[in-house]
Amino acid sequence: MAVESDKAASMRRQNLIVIVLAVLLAATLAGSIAYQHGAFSPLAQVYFIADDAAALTPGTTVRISGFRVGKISSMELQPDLKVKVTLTIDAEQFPRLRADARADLVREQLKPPMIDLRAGQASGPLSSADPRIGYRRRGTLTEIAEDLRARLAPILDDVNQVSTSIRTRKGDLEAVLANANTITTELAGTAKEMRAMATDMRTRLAAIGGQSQATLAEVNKSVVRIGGLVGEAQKGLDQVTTALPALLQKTGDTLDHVNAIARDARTVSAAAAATVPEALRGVPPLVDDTREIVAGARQAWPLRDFVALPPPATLPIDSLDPAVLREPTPGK
Amino acid sequence: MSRRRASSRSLFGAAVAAAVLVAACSSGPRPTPNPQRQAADSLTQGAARALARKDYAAALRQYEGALAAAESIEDFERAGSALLNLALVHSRMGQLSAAHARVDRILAVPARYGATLHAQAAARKALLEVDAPDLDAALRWTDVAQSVCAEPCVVGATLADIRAHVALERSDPAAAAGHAARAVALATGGGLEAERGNALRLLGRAQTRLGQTTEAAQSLASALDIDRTLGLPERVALDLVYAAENEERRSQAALAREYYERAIAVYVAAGNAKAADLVRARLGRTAAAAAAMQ
Repeated sequence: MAVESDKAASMRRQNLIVIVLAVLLAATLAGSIAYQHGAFSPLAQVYFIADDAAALTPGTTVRISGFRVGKISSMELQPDLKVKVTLTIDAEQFPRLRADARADLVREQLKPPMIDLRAGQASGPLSSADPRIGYRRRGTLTEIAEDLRARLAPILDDVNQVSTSIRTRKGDLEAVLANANTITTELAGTAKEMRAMATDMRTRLAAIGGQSQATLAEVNKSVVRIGGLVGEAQKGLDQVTTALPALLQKTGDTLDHVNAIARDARTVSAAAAATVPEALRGVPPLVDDTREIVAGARQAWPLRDFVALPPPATLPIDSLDPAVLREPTPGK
Repeated sequence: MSRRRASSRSLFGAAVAAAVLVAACSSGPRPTPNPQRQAADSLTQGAARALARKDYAAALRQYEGALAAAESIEDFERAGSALLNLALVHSRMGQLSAAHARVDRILAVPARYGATLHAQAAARKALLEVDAPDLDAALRWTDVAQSVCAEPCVVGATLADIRAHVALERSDPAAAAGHAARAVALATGGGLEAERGNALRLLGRAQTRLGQTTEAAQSLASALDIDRTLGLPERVALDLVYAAENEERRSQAALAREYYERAIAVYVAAGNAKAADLVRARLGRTAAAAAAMQ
C-alpha cells in the first residue's frame, strides 16, 4: 500500500516537472518571438500626412534600405480629411533621419504594400519635437508601365514617320539626282559648242576691227567661264552621287538603331510588370535617349527636308516670366 | 452540282481579291507639303531649343524666320504664335519696348488672329506691364485677357496669379491669398503644374504676410515639391527664399538660416552668382539682426 502511495507521489512529481518545463519552454519561446519583433528594444515614432489612406493599414511594414525597421502603428483622420499616419520604428534608426526624410509607399504585384523610409540628405536632422516626414505614393508597376506606354507612343509614331519618309522619298531623291546629272551633262555639251562657235566667229570676223575683236574676246572669256562653272557643278554632283549610297546607308543604320531602342523600350515596358521592376524604373532615361535619337535623325540629311514636323506650339504664358518676379527679393 | 458549287466559290474568291485590290489602290494621293509652313515649323522648333539653352540671339533669329515664313502665306495662327514667342524672347533679353511692339501687332487686329491668341497676347502684355512695372496697366490688360478668353480659359491661372502679385505689391495680402487660391484651383484643373507652383508660392507669401505661417509653410513646401519635380532650379531657390522669410516671421532663426543656405546652394549650382549674392546679403542681415536681439 505504502509502495503504491510512493509510486503515485513520484508520478505526480514527474508530471509537475514536465508541466513546469513546458511552461518555461513556452515562456522562452514567447520571449524570443517578442524579442525578434523588437518588443524589448526602444522605439521611436515619426509621422506623415497622406491625402487618403488608400493601400495603408496599421501593421504595414516599414523598411530602410530593404531592412524591416518598424510598422505603421496608427492612422488618424484629420479635420481637413487628410490622414495622419504614425510609424513606429527602432529608436536607433531615428538619428539617421534628416529633415527631408520621406516615406515612399511601395506597391508591387503579388506583394503586400510596404513603406520604404528614405533617410534624406538635408544638413539638419529630423526634428524630434515634430518628427514629420514627407510622403510619396510610388505608382504600381502597371501604372508605371502604362505611363511608359503613353510616353513611348509618340516616339514610335515618329519612328514610323521617319521610316515611311525614307522609304517613300529615297526613290524621288534618286530620280532628282539622275535628272540633275542629265541636265548638267547637256549644259556641259552646250558650253563646249558655244566655245567652238565663238572661236569660229572670232576667226571669221577677225577683219572687222579692233573694237569688235575685243568684244568678241570678252564673249569668249564669258563662255569659257560658264564652261568652267558647269564643270564645277558636274564635279559637285558626281561627289553627291558617289556619297549618296553611303549616306542613305548611314541613315538606314541610324533608323535601325532607333527601331532597336524603341523595340527594347517597348519590350521592357511590357515585360517589366512581372519581372524587372528596377529595370523598368530605369527606362525613362532610355525613352529620353530614344527621343533625342529620333530628333537627331530628323535633323540629319537627307531627312530634314522630308519629315513633316508637328505644328508649333506657343510658349506657355507663365506668370513668372517677368524678370522682376524671378529676382530673390525676400521681405519686399 | 459539286462542280457548280466549286465554280461559284472560286468566283466569290476572285471578287473578294478584286475588292481588296481596288481598296488598296484607291488611297488618295499624299497631300503636297507646304514648304513655307514646314519652314515655319522647323524654325520654331529650332528656336524653342535655342531658348531652352538660353541662346537668345539664335532664338530671336529663328522665330523671326518662322514669322516671315508664316506671314508669307498668311498663316495667322503660326504668325501669332511666333509674335508671342518673340515677345517672350525680347523680354528675356530685357528689350521691353521690342516685346511690346510684337504683342501690339496682335492686339491691333485681334480678329485676324482669333480669340485664343488675343487672350494670350493680352496676358503677355499684362506680364510685360508687371515687368515695367506699371501695375494699373497690368490689371487693365488682365481684364482684357479675361474678357476675351473663352472658358475653360487657357491663361485663367496665369491671370489669377498676376492679380495675386499685384495685390501683394499693393500690401493687400488677403486679396492676394484669394486670387492665389483661385489660381491654384484653375492650374490644378488645367493640369498646369508650373503655374500651380507659382500660385502656391504666391499663396505662401500672402499667408506669411497674414501671419498664417503654418499654412504658408505648407503652401511653400508644396510649391517646392512641384518645382523640384519639374526640375526648375530658379523656382526651387525662390521657394526656399520665401520659406526662409516665413520661418523668420515665426522666429525660427535656425530654420530660416537653413532655408537661405539651401537657396544659396541652389543658385550657385545653377550658375546664378548674382542671385546667390543677393540671398547671402539677406542671410547676413538676418544673422546681424538675430545677434542684436541677443
